[in-house]
Order: sequence, then structure tokens, then C-alpha cells
Amino acid sequence: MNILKTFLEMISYRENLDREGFILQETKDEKIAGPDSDGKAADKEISDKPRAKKRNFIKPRRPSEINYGDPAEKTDSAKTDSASSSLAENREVINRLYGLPDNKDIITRDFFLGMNSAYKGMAVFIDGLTDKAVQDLLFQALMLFAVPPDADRGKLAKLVMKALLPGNQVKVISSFKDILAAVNMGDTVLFFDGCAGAVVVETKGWEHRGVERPVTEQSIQGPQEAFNETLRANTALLRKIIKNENLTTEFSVVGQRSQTMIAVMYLRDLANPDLVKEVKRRINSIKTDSILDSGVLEQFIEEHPYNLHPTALATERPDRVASKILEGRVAIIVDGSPNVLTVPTTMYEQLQTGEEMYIHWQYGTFVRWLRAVAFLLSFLLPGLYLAVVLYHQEMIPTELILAIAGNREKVPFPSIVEVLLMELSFELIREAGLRIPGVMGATIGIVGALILGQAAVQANIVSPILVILVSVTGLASFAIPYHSLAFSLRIYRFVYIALGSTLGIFGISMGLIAHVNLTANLKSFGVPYLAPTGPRTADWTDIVTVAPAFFHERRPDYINPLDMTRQPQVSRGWIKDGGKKND
Amino acid sequence: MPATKLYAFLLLVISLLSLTGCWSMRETDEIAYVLAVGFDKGEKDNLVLTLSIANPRTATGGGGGGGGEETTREIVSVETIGPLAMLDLLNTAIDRRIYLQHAKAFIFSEDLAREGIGRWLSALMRFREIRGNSEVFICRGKARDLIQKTSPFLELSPAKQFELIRKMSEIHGLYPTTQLIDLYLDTKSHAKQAVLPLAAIHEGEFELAKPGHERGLGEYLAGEVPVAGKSKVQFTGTAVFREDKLVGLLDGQDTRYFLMLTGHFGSGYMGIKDPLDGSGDIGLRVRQGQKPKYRTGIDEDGNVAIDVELFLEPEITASYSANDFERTDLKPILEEAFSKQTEQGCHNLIKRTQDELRADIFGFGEKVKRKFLTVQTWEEYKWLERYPEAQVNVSVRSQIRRTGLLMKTIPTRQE
Repeated sequence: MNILKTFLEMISYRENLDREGFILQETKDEKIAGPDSDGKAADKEISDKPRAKKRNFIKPRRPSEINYGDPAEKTDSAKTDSASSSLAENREVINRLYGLPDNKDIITRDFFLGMNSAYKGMAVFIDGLTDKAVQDLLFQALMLFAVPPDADRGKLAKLVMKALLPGNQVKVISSFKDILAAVNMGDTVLFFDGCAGAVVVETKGWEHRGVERPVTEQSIQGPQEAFNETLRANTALLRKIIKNENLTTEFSVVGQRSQTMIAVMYLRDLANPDLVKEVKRRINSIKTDSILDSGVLEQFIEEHPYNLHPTALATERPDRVASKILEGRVAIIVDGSPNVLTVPTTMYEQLQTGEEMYIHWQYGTFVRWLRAVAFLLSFLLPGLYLAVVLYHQEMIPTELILAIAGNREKVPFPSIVEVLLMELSFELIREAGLRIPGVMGATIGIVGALILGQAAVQANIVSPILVILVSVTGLASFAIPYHSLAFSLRIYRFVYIALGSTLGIFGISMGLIAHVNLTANLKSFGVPYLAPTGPRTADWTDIVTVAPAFFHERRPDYINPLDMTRQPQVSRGWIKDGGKKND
Repeated sequence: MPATKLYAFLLLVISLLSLTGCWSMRETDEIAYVLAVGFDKGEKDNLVLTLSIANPRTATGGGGGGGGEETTREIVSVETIGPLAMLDLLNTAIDRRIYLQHAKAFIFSEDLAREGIGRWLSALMRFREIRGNSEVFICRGKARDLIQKTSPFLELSPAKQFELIRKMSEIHGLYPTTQLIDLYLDTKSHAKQAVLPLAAIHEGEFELAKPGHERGLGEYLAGEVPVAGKSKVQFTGTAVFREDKLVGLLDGQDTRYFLMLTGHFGSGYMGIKDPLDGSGDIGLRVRQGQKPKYRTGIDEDGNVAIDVELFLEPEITASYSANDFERTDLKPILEEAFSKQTEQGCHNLIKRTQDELRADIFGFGEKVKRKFLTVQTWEEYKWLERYPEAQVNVSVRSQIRRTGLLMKTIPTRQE
């Protein structure tokens, strides 16, 4: 009976027993905006008292209907203040802003300047973000070697900066807003009693990943460096490749709470100024609480977020970004993200790896044609197979249709179920293979190979020809270098499977027309997504076929850079006639 | 509101898909693939159709497991009033839908062809499942027997047999090839009569074959060739049609002359007696060097003269004669003799088509047609009726290009 009672209790309604002593209550914010938001009873909070009428039904409301009010900037007034000349006051403000002493990351350290107790000072920094060795030198200089000056106390900060500190980036600021930003970035801020300014010393030195080999965009020839999560390291990687004074890096800060630094890099004398302006305009207009990765930023600045195709190119290879910047494009680096965005982008660019330019042009051409085939196979093959096998059996050789038919004789499912089954298992393997902990990585291969390749066929669940088909499709989609593009084609594949199995080739051609139309209408920062073929722009050979390096005389026309010429007509000075006939 | 619009759009699209109903959708395991259709005369004024239906289970090549006894095809026959009426009748006995789009061969029996096949052709051409490029054959005897006894020699699939037969014609030229669409057009043409390759069953050993010829290479009709073994079906010779009726048969050798005159001769072994002393035979591998050249003339009375010029390139493959025909001074003699022999053969064939068969199977009419300014005058001229009166001259030029791997004939030393 006891079991029955427990069971009944589990499936019947009970008042909350409050056994745990904790209920996550609605925030005040939500309650105010809560029920009866007509305005008349904003003060009427839901009381805990039982209601007078028993059946006083309140219509439940969707959370999305609750108006939380405009997330206006909730600024602490103290932030806008300037630092005062009293050390005690400054300390109080810092304590309040950082929630000291609860907040243990923030260290405030008192010291005397030059061992003189008359000159009191205080250092504020965040443990873990600062470089301890640099800080040691800093305190040594201030406490042991500094000779307290007789000058006016108010100018102490300036004096420390100019005469006493050996740090490489030192400046004096006074607003608490700037002070907070500096401390949050890993700088050390020094306050002096009697001085209204604060000295900011660059002591950044947090734990980070070093520059490693590219993981997702591997190449055989070409540089083997990849971006990492540190903004400064990423900008340096680019500057290392383009040693040019015109390479400009502009910073903006996006994210109310995360305060993420975003760098926009371009060549000042090459990138179209309107393009740069537009990129900055879009980035600066973003109002959100955090940007954690460049992928998030991409969604905020894309023109067509509802289309499946990506209209910004993310890459982890500095050489690739450098080549884009040298074409007049703009790179966007998000602090904390190892993927750098370049805009504008085209679909053809997303089907390239950059490696084609490093190898002989014939090899590059071969690889790109191969990739073009893979591009088509990756989304069309299963749909086409279904269309042919279900509607157009006359299209393929008798031998082949008999082989397909023979293999299908024992399979109990219709072709469409068979295809969906295999596609689903393949997608599962792909997703599981990505998420599986590295220790168990080998399992996925065994499970995948055994289940898909062998057992399914032997159990007559699918026909062997379909296993080949799905594997080829899978290989083709892995051959597409840009992950986002491969993703979009993966989804399109299912659309074509639906069309092929219900309408045959007719459906697939209708799908292709719609697909091409949708894609041709895309724009990436004002540049058509299918340029330079749709619309056709000025002659530019580097679409599928790679031209030899000395033929790349002009930059892509559709980017409209300030300087179209990449190299003179005769770029190989050692050949007498330049190696080009009739020119 | 874009999300709402998107959902509405998706809903529309999905409901559209459900409207399609997949009418013409056919799973491969719901279909019986017909590979060949045989036409025989029925008891009354009707047809007996024999279908060779592929067994797809055997096409997977041992993957099926266990079914070792299964044949590559199943054969059914039905008596019906027309080639398409059979579909419904057969489907009362066969659970799968009869599917003709992979039918590679249509085989008419000789008896049926002598009565005319035009009415059956029009039905076949009208039906959308029939391929215009399937092969058509005439069968001596019953088409049903032929289909039953056709056992592909090495091929796993019976479909491949008919595809390869087409290619074999280019290698030996002992039968022409005709596709369904060409046959249909030729039976309607004002300038040409149709021909079909001839097939037959040959059973037993050599003694049942026709007695051998002196230089027996191609003077056979299908069913008479002395071949013994597993492969019982033979393809040799040509069936000649006047309009849609079969009027006569050509043997393999005549078929070669026919193919030479139309320019479709690929290559073939031919023999010739030693032109110097008749001491032994010389074997030649002949290929057609150029397409034939035609010159036509027509006078006021409507008398037509046609000159055909052939250029052949033989290669000496065997020499049983003592004479060294590889020598530059003897080579022209052999060439001359071979040209004469071929000329005679062509001439005899043309004579036969004019006098006995009265059918312009060469398509000379296509060349004569150019002398007429309008189609009306051409059709009024009634070429096919006047072909027997036409003067056709054939001249053959041949040049021996190679002598095989031997460059000289040295007589065997006699002691």
C-alpha cells in the first residue's frame, strides 16, 4: 500500500511542501511588470494569502508577453565620478564598485612611496590577470628606489608617471569608468593620497593558449599558425604578415556586461572607406550584454540572418585573413574568439582554402574542381538517387537499375525511409563523434563502421548501394572547407531528399531554381554573395580555375578597393618580354 | 513577424508536397523489368507475345546468398490482340507491374513479318514506355523458342547480351543492326526500305548445319552456321522488307556487301583465291577506308543512273599460296583481284534486290531525292516502284595497307 500511495502522490497535485526551504521566486522586476499590467495595479503584488474565492482562475501568461521594460543602461552613479584627492574616499568607491571585501579577486595593496610614510599610496589590480614579475618591478621602483619629491601633491601622479616608473605603458586617468576598464583588463591602478588622478600601469599577463597549429583548417603547404583567444596576439599575428604602416586596428567595446573588445583591421590606403565605415557602424550599434564569440557577432552584423548561407567568412588562419585584408576586405577580431571574421565574402571564397594559391596553379585548379564536384554532391546526391530510383528508372543503364533493384529486393522499407535512416545515422555519428570525450574517441569509428557499413546491410535494413551513396555524400560535405557552408548544405540536402522523393527530377529542378534565387539575392556588406558570376563583374579568373600567381594583376572588382592594381602587367622582371604575348 | 510568415510559408510548401500524391512513383521492387519481347503469330488473327523478365536478385552477384538455383530471367507468354493489351492480361498472372522502359530487344518471327509488322509497330511507337533505340530482330522459327533458348554465353545479365550484339556487327559485318525508331521510319519512307538482322536457333552439332561452302566465311543464314556449344542462338544475315512485309533473306556475305554499299561496314575476314595461279587461298581482314561516294544522274525520261565508289583497305592475315604477295609488284595484282571480286558481289546483290526482292534497301533513293526540287514531285516519281529499273554501277578500289606481322612469304623448304 505504501508503494501505491507514493506512486499516487507522484502523479497527483499537491501544494508545495516547501521541504527544501528554498523556492526560486520571481524577481521584483518581473512581478512589477507582472499580472494586470494595465497599469492600475502595478503595486498589487501577488500575496501569499489564499484567495477568497476558491476558483479564482488566473489565465497563465506566456513569459514572452511580460514586459520587462527597456534594458536601459543601469549605470552606477559612482562610475561617472572622478577620482577624488583623498585616498580614503577613493578606497571607499573602489570597495563599493567591486563589492569588496566579498569579491576576493580584487586586490588592494597599500604602500608608502619611497619608504616615506607621508606619501601613502594604494594599488588596485585583479589577481590572475596581472603579470607578477612586472608587478614586482613596479613595487620595487615605487617603494625602494623612488625618492619622494617635494612637489605639489596634486601633481604626484604625473610625476610618478614621468619620473619614477619604468613600466612601458603608463598613463594618468581620473574617471572611475576608465579606472574600472583598466583594472578589468589586467592593468594595475595606483592611487596617491592627495592626488586626484590615478596612474595606470600596463601589467597584463593572464593565462592563455599559445599560438598553435590550425585545428579545423589544416593545410599541407603554407603557414601553420592559428589564431588563439587573445586579441593582442591575433592582431600581432596579422601585423607580422603585413608589415605596413597603413594597417590600421580600431577598437570598439561591445557587450554591456562582458565589455568585449572588438578590433576592426584594414589597410587604410586600400580598403574602401565606406566599407570600413559601415562595418564600424554595424558593430557600434549593437546593444547586448555579451559577445562571447565571433559567431555571435556574425549573427548581429549579417544582412541575411534568415538565409542558411553564411555571409561572413570566419577563419582561424592568419595568412588567410592577411590575404583578404590585402584584397581590400575588412577583418573583425573578437577578443576571446580564435576565429576572425572577414567581410565582405562570396560563396566562391568560402569554397576556397587559400592553400590553392601556395601550390602550383594546376594543382590548385584540380583541387578546386574536385571541390566543385563535392559541393554539388554534398546536397544533391541522395535527392537525385531517390528521384531516379523512384521516378526515372529509364535514365540509368539496365545493369545498374537491376543491381539497385536486386539489392533492394530484401529490404523491407521504401527507398525514402532507407535514405532517411542512413542519413540520420550518419548525422548522429557525425554529431556524436564531435561530442564524444577524447578518451572514447576510438569507439565512434568502430560503432559507425560496424553499424552503418556492415550490420545494417547484413540485416537487410538498407541496401549496400545506399551505404556507398551516403558515405560519398558525407565525404563530399567534409571536403567543403568552410564549416558554416557545409552546415547549410547539410540542411539543404534534406530539402532535396523531400523534393526528389515526392516530385522527382521536376522537384529537384524546382528546388534548384528556388535555391539559386535565394542565394543570388544574398549580400554580404553590399557585395552580392554570388559575385563575380552572379552578377558578372570584371574579368577575374580566380573563381574555380586558379590562374598562375603572375596573372593576378587586379584585385577583385566587386570589393571596390581604392587601388585596383595588385601588380604590374609584367610582374616577372627577369623575362625579356614579360612572358606574355602581344601585350 | 518574420517567424510567423516563415511558418505560414513552410506550411504552404509542405501541404503542396502532400498534394503531389507521388502518382508515378514506383519502388524498384514493385516492377518487373522486361528485357526482350518476342512476337509470334497466334492461332487466329492475333499475337503470341513472349517476355523475358529480369530477375534482379541474380544481378547482385552472389550477394543474395542461398539462391543458387535462380535463373537470370523468367519467361512468360501470352496470347493477345495487340502488343500493349498484353500488359493487362499479364498482370493478372504477374504480381509486379510490367515495365517496358528497359526492353532492349523486340523479336518478330519470320511468319509474322511476312504478313506485315506495321500495325504492331505503330502501337509500339505510340507507347511512351518503349525506347526508340531498342534493337529489332527477325527470327527464323518461333520468337518464343528463341527467347527461351537464349542463354547468355558469359554474361551474367541477359540485358547486356543485346547491347553487345550491336557492337559485334561492327566487327564482322555479318548482320546489320536496326533500331526500332529506324525501322519505323524506313517503313514509312519514300526513299528506302527497311532491313532487320536475322536470328535463329541452331541445335545439335555440325551435321545439322548447312553443308560448308568452298570459302565458307559468311554464306550462311542464321541457324545454319556450324557452331556447336552452349550458345544456341545465332545472328547472321539480313531480312529484307518491302514496306512492312518481309520479302527475302540475305546471307552473311551479302550482308557485308550491303553494309559496304551503305557505308556501315566496320571490318571482317574475307577470302580470295590466289589470282596468279589459284594455288591457294589468301585471307584478308577488310575494313572500309572511306565512306562510299555516290553520284546520281536522272534524265528527262526519269531514268536514274547511280555510280557508287567503294574504297576498301584489306590487310593480309593468312596466305596459303606460294606467291609472295607482299612484294610491291605483286600486291597490285591481289588488290585488283579483290576489287573485282567485291564488285561482282555488290553487283549480284544489287541485281537481286532489283529483280527478285524489288526493294531499295541501300537508301539510294536518299541520294536521288536531291535531284528533285520539291517533295511533291519526288513523291509523285514513286522511286520505290522504279528502283528495279535504275542503273547502278559499282566500282571498288582497294589498297593493301599491311601484311600482318610477316613481311615476306617464303615457301616451306622441300627436300
